[in-house]
Amino acid sequence: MKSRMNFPEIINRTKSLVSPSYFTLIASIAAWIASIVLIMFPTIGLTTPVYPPNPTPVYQLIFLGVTTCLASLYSAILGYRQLKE
Amino acid sequence: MKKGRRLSGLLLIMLSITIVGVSAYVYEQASQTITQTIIEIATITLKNSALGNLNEGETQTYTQAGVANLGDAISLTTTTANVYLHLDSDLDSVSGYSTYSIVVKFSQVVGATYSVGDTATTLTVGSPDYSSIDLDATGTWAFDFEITTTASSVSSDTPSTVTIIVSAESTV
Repeated sequence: MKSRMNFPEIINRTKSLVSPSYFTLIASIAAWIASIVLIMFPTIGLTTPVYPPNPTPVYQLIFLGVTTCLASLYSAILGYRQLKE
Repeated sequence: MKKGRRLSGLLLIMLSITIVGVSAYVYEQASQTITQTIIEIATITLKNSALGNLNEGETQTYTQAGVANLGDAISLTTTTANVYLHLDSDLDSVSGYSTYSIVVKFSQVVGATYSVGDTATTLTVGSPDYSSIDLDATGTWAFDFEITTTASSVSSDTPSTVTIIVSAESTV
Protein backbone atom coordinates (compact mmCIF):
# COMPACT_ATOMS: atom_id res chain seq x y z
CA MET A 1 0.00 0.00 0.00
CA LYS A 2 1.37 3.37 -1.01
CA SER A 3 1.72 6.00 1.63
CA ARG A 4 0.76 9.56 0.85
CA MET A 5 3.50 12.19 0.73
CA ASN A 6 3.32 14.69 3.53
CA PHE A 7 3.65 18.40 2.95
CA PRO A 8 7.39 18.79 3.76
CA GLU A 9 8.09 15.88 1.41
CA ILE A 10 6.22 17.61 -1.42
CA ILE A 11 8.17 20.81 -0.74
CA ASN A 12 11.48 18.90 -0.81
CA ARG A 13 10.61 17.12 -4.04
CA THR A 14 9.53 20.39 -5.65
CA LYS A 15 12.73 22.03 -4.47
CA SER A 16 14.86 19.30 -5.97
CA LEU A 17 12.90 19.52 -9.18
CA VAL A 18 13.43 23.25 -9.62
CA SER A 19 16.89 23.57 -8.04
CA PRO A 20 19.59 24.30 -10.62
CA SER A 21 20.70 21.11 -12.32
CA TYR A 22 21.45 20.11 -15.88
CA PHE A 23 17.94 18.70 -16.14
CA THR A 24 16.34 22.03 -15.18
CA LEU A 25 18.76 23.87 -17.44
CA ILE A 26 17.85 21.73 -20.46
CA ALA A 27 14.14 21.98 -19.66
CA SER A 28 14.27 25.75 -19.32
CA ILE A 29 16.30 26.13 -22.53
CA ALA A 30 13.74 23.96 -24.33
CA ALA A 31 10.94 26.20 -23.05
CA TRP A 32 12.93 29.28 -24.06
CA ILE A 33 13.41 27.98 -27.60
CA ALA A 34 9.71 27.15 -27.74
CA SER A 35 8.82 30.71 -26.75
CA ILE A 36 11.08 32.13 -29.47
CA VAL A 37 9.62 29.80 -32.09
CA LEU A 38 6.13 30.84 -30.99
CA ILE A 39 6.98 34.48 -31.57
CA MET A 40 9.08 34.19 -34.70
CA PHE A 41 7.17 31.56 -36.62
CA PRO A 42 4.85 33.43 -38.96
CA THR A 43 1.86 31.12 -38.90
CA ILE A 44 1.49 30.91 -35.16
CA GLY A 45 3.29 33.93 -33.79
CA LEU A 46 3.41 37.67 -33.80
CA THR A 47 4.36 38.09 -37.37
CA THR A 48 1.03 36.76 -38.60
CA PRO A 49 -0.24 39.38 -41.02
CA VAL A 50 -3.71 39.65 -39.54
CA TYR A 51 -5.21 42.40 -37.47
CA PRO A 52 -5.09 42.25 -34.55
CA PRO A 53 -2.35 39.70 -33.92
CA ASN A 54 -3.78 36.44 -32.71
CA PRO A 55 -3.14 34.89 -30.22
CA THR A 56 -2.58 37.93 -28.02
CA PRO A 57 1.16 38.59 -28.26
CA VAL A 58 1.37 39.87 -24.70
CA TYR A 59 1.12 36.32 -23.38
CA GLN A 60 3.83 35.19 -25.76
CA LEU A 61 6.10 37.97 -24.55
CA ILE A 62 5.43 37.10 -20.92
CA PHE A 63 6.29 33.48 -21.75
CA LEU A 64 9.49 34.66 -23.44
CA GLY A 65 10.38 36.78 -20.41
CA VAL A 66 9.81 33.99 -17.88
CA THR A 67 11.68 31.34 -19.88
CA THR A 68 14.56 33.76 -20.54
CA CYS A 69 14.91 34.48 -16.82
CA LEU A 70 14.83 30.79 -15.93
CA ALA A 71 17.21 29.59 -18.65
CA SER A 72 19.64 32.44 -18.07
CA LEU A 73 19.53 32.03 -14.30
CA TYR A 74 20.03 28.25 -14.33
CA SER A 75 22.87 28.60 -16.82
CA ALA A 76 24.56 31.31 -14.80
CA ILE A 77 24.22 29.40 -11.50
CA LEU A 78 25.57 26.17 -12.97
CA GLY A 79 28.41 28.06 -14.63
CA TYR A 80 29.26 29.81 -11.40
CA ARG A 81 29.24 26.48 -9.52
CA GLN A 82 31.59 24.96 -12.10
CA LEU A 83 33.99 27.87 -11.75
CA LYS A 84 33.82 27.75 -7.97
CA GLU A 85 34.56 24.03 -7.65
CA MET B 1 40.19 18.32 -14.87
CA LYS B 2 40.00 21.70 -13.20
CA LYS B 3 40.63 23.33 -16.55
CA GLY B 4 37.70 21.43 -18.02
CA ARG B 5 35.38 22.58 -15.25
CA ARG B 6 36.57 26.12 -15.67
CA LEU B 7 35.91 25.96 -19.40
CA SER B 8 32.42 24.50 -18.98
CA GLY B 9 31.69 27.10 -16.30
CA LEU B 10 32.67 29.90 -18.64
CA LEU B 11 30.63 28.37 -21.45
CA LEU B 12 27.57 28.20 -19.24
CA ILE B 13 27.94 31.82 -18.22
CA MET B 14 28.39 32.76 -21.87
CA LEU B 15 25.23 30.81 -22.64
CA SER B 16 23.39 32.73 -19.95
CA ILE B 17 24.43 36.05 -21.51
CA THR B 18 23.59 34.81 -25.01
CA ILE B 19 20.08 33.78 -23.93
CA VAL B 20 19.42 37.26 -22.57
CA GLY B 21 20.84 38.86 -25.72
CA VAL B 22 18.80 36.77 -28.11
CA SER B 23 15.64 37.34 -26.08
CA ALA B 24 16.22 41.10 -26.07
CA TYR B 25 16.59 41.06 -29.85
CA VAL B 26 13.48 38.95 -30.34
CA TYR B 27 11.53 41.16 -27.93
CA GLU B 28 12.54 44.27 -29.83
CA GLN B 29 11.51 42.76 -33.17
CA ALA B 30 8.24 41.48 -31.70
CA SER B 31 7.41 44.85 -30.18
CA GLN B 32 7.81 46.47 -33.55
CA THR B 33 5.33 44.02 -34.96
CA ILE B 34 2.84 44.69 -32.19
CA THR B 35 2.88 48.45 -32.64
CA GLN B 36 2.46 48.11 -36.39
CA THR B 37 -1.26 48.58 -36.65
CA ILE B 38 -1.58 49.25 -40.35
CA ILE B 39 -2.17 46.00 -42.12
CA GLU B 40 -2.45 45.77 -45.85
CA ILE B 41 -5.34 43.47 -46.53
CA ALA B 42 -5.36 43.24 -50.27
CA THR B 43 -4.38 44.78 -53.53
CA ILE B 44 -7.29 44.62 -55.96
CA THR B 45 -6.66 44.98 -59.65
CA LEU B 46 -9.50 45.88 -61.99
CA LYS B 47 -8.74 45.40 -65.66
CA ASN B 48 -11.08 46.79 -68.27
CA SER B 49 -10.71 43.59 -70.26
CA ALA B 50 -12.56 41.84 -67.43
CA LEU B 51 -15.43 44.28 -67.81
CA GLY B 52 -15.95 43.82 -71.54
CA ASN B 53 -15.96 46.27 -74.40
CA LEU B 54 -16.87 49.89 -73.92
CA ASN B 55 -17.32 52.19 -76.88
CA GLU B 56 -16.29 55.81 -77.03
CA GLY B 57 -18.60 58.08 -75.10
CA GLU B 58 -20.56 55.14 -73.72
CA THR B 59 -21.34 55.07 -70.02
CA GLN B 60 -21.62 51.67 -68.49
CA THR B 61 -22.27 50.55 -64.96
CA TYR B 62 -20.97 47.23 -63.82
CA THR B 63 -22.39 45.41 -60.83
CA GLN B 64 -21.92 41.96 -59.41
CA ALA B 65 -24.97 40.83 -61.40
CA GLY B 66 -22.93 41.19 -64.57
CA VAL B 67 -19.41 40.74 -63.26
CA ALA B 68 -19.40 38.20 -60.47
CA ASN B 69 -15.98 39.24 -59.21
CA LEU B 70 -17.37 42.60 -58.11
CA GLY B 71 -19.49 40.85 -55.46
CA ASP B 72 -17.76 40.60 -52.07
CA ALA B 73 -14.67 42.13 -53.62
CA ILE B 74 -13.42 42.89 -50.12
CA SER B 75 -14.12 40.53 -47.26
CA LEU B 76 -12.45 40.68 -43.89
CA THR B 77 -13.02 39.52 -40.34
CA THR B 78 -12.25 41.87 -37.49
CA THR B 79 -11.61 40.66 -33.98
CA THR B 80 -11.70 44.09 -32.38
CA ALA B 81 -14.12 46.98 -32.68
CA ASN B 82 -13.33 50.16 -34.58
CA VAL B 83 -11.02 48.99 -37.29
CA TYR B 84 -10.66 51.65 -39.95
CA LEU B 85 -10.55 50.56 -43.54
CA HIS B 86 -8.55 52.59 -46.02
CA LEU B 87 -8.89 52.38 -49.77
CA ASP B 88 -6.14 53.83 -51.90
CA SER B 89 -6.54 53.61 -55.65
CA ASP B 90 -4.69 54.94 -58.65
CA LEU B 91 -7.87 56.15 -60.36
CA ASP B 92 -6.34 59.59 -60.84
CA SER B 93 -3.77 58.15 -63.21
CA VAL B 94 -6.16 56.10 -65.35
CA SER B 95 -6.42 57.40 -68.88
CA GLY B 96 -9.08 56.79 -71.53
CA TYR B 97 -12.09 57.58 -69.36
CA SER B 98 -13.96 60.80 -68.80
CA THR B 99 -15.58 59.29 -65.73
CA TYR B 100 -14.57 56.33 -63.67
CA SER B 101 -16.19 55.78 -60.32
CA ILE B 102 -16.15 52.84 -58.00
CA VAL B 103 -18.96 52.67 -55.47
CA VAL B 104 -18.09 50.51 -52.49
CA LYS B 105 -21.20 49.07 -50.86
CA PHE B 106 -21.67 46.96 -47.77
CA SER B 107 -22.68 43.43 -48.68
CA GLN B 108 -22.19 41.91 -45.24
CA VAL B 109 -22.36 43.93 -42.04
CA VAL B 110 -22.08 43.41 -38.31
CA GLY B 111 -24.05 45.46 -35.80
CA ALA B 112 -26.74 48.02 -36.45
CA THR B 113 -24.73 51.01 -37.71
CA TYR B 114 -24.73 49.96 -41.35
CA SER B 115 -27.12 48.03 -43.53
CA VAL B 116 -26.46 45.77 -46.48
CA GLY B 117 -26.51 47.90 -49.61
CA ASP B 118 -25.38 51.12 -47.90
CA THR B 119 -22.66 52.98 -49.76
CA ALA B 120 -19.44 52.97 -47.78
CA THR B 121 -17.59 55.28 -50.12
CA THR B 122 -17.22 56.24 -53.76
CA LEU B 123 -13.80 56.40 -55.37
CA THR B 124 -13.56 58.71 -58.35
CA VAL B 125 -10.86 60.16 -60.57
CA GLY B 126 -10.94 63.36 -58.50
CA SER B 127 -11.04 61.48 -55.20
CA PRO B 128 -9.14 58.23 -55.67
CA ASP B 129 -8.48 57.49 -51.98
CA TYR B 130 -10.76 57.08 -49.01
CA SER B 131 -10.08 57.02 -45.34
CA SER B 132 -11.81 55.65 -43.51
CA ILE B 133 -14.68 53.17 -43.24
CA ASP B 134 -15.23 52.57 -39.55
CA LEU B 135 -15.85 48.88 -38.92
CA ASP B 136 -17.30 49.42 -35.47
CA ALA B 137 -18.12 45.85 -34.49
CA THR B 138 -16.28 42.57 -34.55
CA GLY B 139 -17.17 40.04 -37.18
CA THR B 140 -17.05 39.51 -40.91
CA TRP B 141 -17.55 42.45 -43.21
CA ALA B 142 -17.83 42.32 -46.98
CA PHE B 143 -18.11 44.93 -49.69
CA ASP B 144 -19.37 44.92 -53.26
CA PHE B 145 -18.02 47.15 -55.97
CA GLU B 146 -20.14 48.97 -58.50
CA ILE B 147 -18.20 50.56 -61.30
CA THR B 148 -19.42 53.27 -63.64
CA THR B 149 -17.23 54.26 -66.54
CA THR B 150 -17.52 56.54 -69.52
CA ALA B 151 -14.95 56.03 -72.22
CA SER B 152 -13.37 59.09 -73.76
CA SER B 153 -12.10 59.33 -77.35
CA VAL B 154 -9.33 56.90 -78.08
CA SER B 155 -7.61 55.98 -81.32
CA SER B 156 -7.39 52.27 -80.58
CA ASP B 157 -8.31 49.68 -78.01
CA THR B 158 -6.98 50.98 -74.72
CA PRO B 159 -6.24 48.57 -71.94
CA SER B 160 -6.41 50.08 -68.49
CA THR B 161 -5.88 48.81 -65.02
CA VAL B 162 -7.01 50.26 -61.72
CA THR B 163 -5.30 49.13 -58.56
CA ILE B 164 -6.90 49.51 -55.17
CA ILE B 165 -4.90 48.90 -52.04
CA VAL B 166 -7.04 47.97 -49.05
CA SER B 167 -5.55 48.41 -45.62
CA ALA B 168 -6.85 48.37 -42.06
CA GLU B 169 -5.74 50.42 -39.09
CA SER B 170 -6.77 50.77 -35.49
CA THR B 171 -6.70 54.56 -35.66
CA VAL B 172 -8.33 56.99 -38.09
